Amino acid sequence: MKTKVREYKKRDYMGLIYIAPWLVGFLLLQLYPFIASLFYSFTQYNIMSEPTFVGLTNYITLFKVDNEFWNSLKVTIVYTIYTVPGKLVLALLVALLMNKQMKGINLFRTIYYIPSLFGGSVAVAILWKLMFMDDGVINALLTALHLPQVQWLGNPDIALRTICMLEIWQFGSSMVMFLAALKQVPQSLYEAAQIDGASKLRCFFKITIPQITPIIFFNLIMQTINALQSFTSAFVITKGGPLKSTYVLGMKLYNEAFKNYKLGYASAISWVIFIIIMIVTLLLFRSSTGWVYYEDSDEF
Amino acid sequence: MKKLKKVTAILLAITMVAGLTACGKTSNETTGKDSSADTTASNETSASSTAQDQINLRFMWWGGDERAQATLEVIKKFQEANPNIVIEAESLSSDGYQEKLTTQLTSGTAADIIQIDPAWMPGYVKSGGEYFVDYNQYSNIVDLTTFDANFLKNNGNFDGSQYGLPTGLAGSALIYNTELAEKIGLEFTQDLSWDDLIEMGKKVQAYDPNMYLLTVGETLLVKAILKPYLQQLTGNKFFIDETGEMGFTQEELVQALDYIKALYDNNVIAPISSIISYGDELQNDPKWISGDTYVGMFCFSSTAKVATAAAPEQTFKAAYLPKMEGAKDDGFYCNCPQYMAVNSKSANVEAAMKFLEYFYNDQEAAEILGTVRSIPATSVGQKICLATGQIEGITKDTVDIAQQFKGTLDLGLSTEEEAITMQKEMADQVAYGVATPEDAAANSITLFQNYLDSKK
Repeated sequence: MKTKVREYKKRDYMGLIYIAPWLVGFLLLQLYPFIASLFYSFTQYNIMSEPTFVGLTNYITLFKVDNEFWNSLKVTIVYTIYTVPGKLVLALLVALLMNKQMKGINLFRTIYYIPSLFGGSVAVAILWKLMFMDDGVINALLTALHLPQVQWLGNPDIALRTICMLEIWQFGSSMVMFLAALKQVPQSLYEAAQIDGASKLRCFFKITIPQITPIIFFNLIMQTINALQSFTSAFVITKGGPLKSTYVLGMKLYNEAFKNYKLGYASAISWVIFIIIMIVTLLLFRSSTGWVYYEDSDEF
Repeated sequence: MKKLKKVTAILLAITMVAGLTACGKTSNETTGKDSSADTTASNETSASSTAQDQINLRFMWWGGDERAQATLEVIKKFQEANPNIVIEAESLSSDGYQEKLTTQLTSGTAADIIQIDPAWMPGYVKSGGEYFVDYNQYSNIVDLTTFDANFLKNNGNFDGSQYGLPTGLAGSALIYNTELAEKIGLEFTQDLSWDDLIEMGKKVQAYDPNMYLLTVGETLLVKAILKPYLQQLTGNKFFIDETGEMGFTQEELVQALDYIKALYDNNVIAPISSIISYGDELQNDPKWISGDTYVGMFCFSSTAKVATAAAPEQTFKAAYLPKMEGAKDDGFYCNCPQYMAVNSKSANVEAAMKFLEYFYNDQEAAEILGTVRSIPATSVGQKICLATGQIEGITKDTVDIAQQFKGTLDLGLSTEEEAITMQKEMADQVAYGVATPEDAAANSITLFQNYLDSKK
């Protein structure tokens, strides 16, 4: 018996050693900054001197004085509203195409997944910037087609949509999950519906969609969180401009922290973003009882 | 169950240890610095016992390939002459440089020798962090007499302490395409005024509505138009550092913004939406390269060569900078593009000074460096560059013109990143036409006041 206990003990330690890289990373690079940022959000801290406690001042300034925050919040919400449905619809459509049995389908699946492998990378953002600059390839194509050129990045009314297109283009990971879900839909349901004379469109809305709602829900949550935290594309492509039209909350947070050295204020912004994400996620979970179908629960 | 408890206990213990480490921030920060110094010291001791007084230095700078190659060559030559000193080069991009430097300075991990933008230095000095060494204390190693005393006093000197050494002479510049100017019949006279620019712009538009007198980026719109215009109008710096007040009234700010509006309304300057995606690198604009759209460009003397090199088929000249009639201040001035500073936390300040003496005052180094950091600030550098024909062309011409302007050097509150961002946003609103000069001025004055209050 003693030997067995010792074996367990040894195995426990081994397990801890195996997960140590993640554990240390999590504690030092995620948990500690998470807690520390809460403390700093109640301080005035410019990195060059010690933080001083200021109570709720940062939060009050954020909500009552700083108009830029409201603009950033608006930009972030618009960005989320554009990108999340856009990405999900595109991912589902491509997944439906990829679900067909045809020659070389695996190659197509890989090709469509590639943009997601570069997801959020600086290199892709730079590529996007070069493509959409005034003398970029997109305007060259428009000129070749005798269409007027567009100031994709210079026009404040268009710049945000250009950034959104980049985000939507990276639909691969959602697509793969949709594809897996589509494969799980029992063929017997379609066969039964066809016998009853249901059209393909009706099958799609009455069988396919309800059957994959758990994956739609999962993708919706993940992409919403992702969109509310967006930073890289706005930072690399437009630096938040022109006229703050792409100044998402992530950009504001970065600039307050590393350009203006208001780390306490930036921490308060990060907590507001966290709370917004938490509320949105909770609301989505609440709503899920009405539209997400779980086979084992037998109800929506 | 027991097993689960054990695992939970271990996890909690680790969390507590990590938490304690994390919570003891202040003490850790201090000991962190000390221990790093100790490590360096002990490393040095052990190094000295193995390889006679081996000294390691880190040198960080930003810049393009040409600057990097010349600097690396100088480091190599210095190391050959001083085999006991090894210099680790950190050649970086200007993008994100300040963020990195600030984090490193505050955490005590910055390089020994640091290239710094003059606009950042006042903020570092004012923070009381004592990050840099006063060169005056090492004048026995670095010869400061090769710099013009007055220039040195205006560049890198803070209340008598010389924390930065200027790398060269630079200023705002206005360059123009001589062929286009001749075709259109434009004359850039020595007494060029701001109003002349408007009239010349109208002439260009009359000649060809697709052409513009100038292309100006966001940064230069503020640094070469808004601020010099206001300084000439008021005789004050943008923000008066001594009092923490604005150097202008709302009416004066509206007047300056009205001028910017007139530049865009009359198509003197190319629309901002068409050039914004090039950032401050307007030489990448194909319309600039082709030489058929813009007659001239506002730039810096340190970037004039890059701008003209981008359009090799065109010929360019330096124009006089604009000045209003009855100006209370020249508005423009000649300062320097960067400082070199030595980290006060460095364990090898003397070795760093020895390198900088070579960097600034050695003929061999001066020849290698040439004008990669604009026209050298030392008499040694200038003499060598003149002899080797490196000081000629557009860089020299623009610096010569900038030196004729004796405006009040505006470094401090108005050149901190937050202030520059606000100034750019204000000018952008007028340039894009989304706000009238009156509205932009009123909104910005509130923001400027909040900013100045936060700095008190």
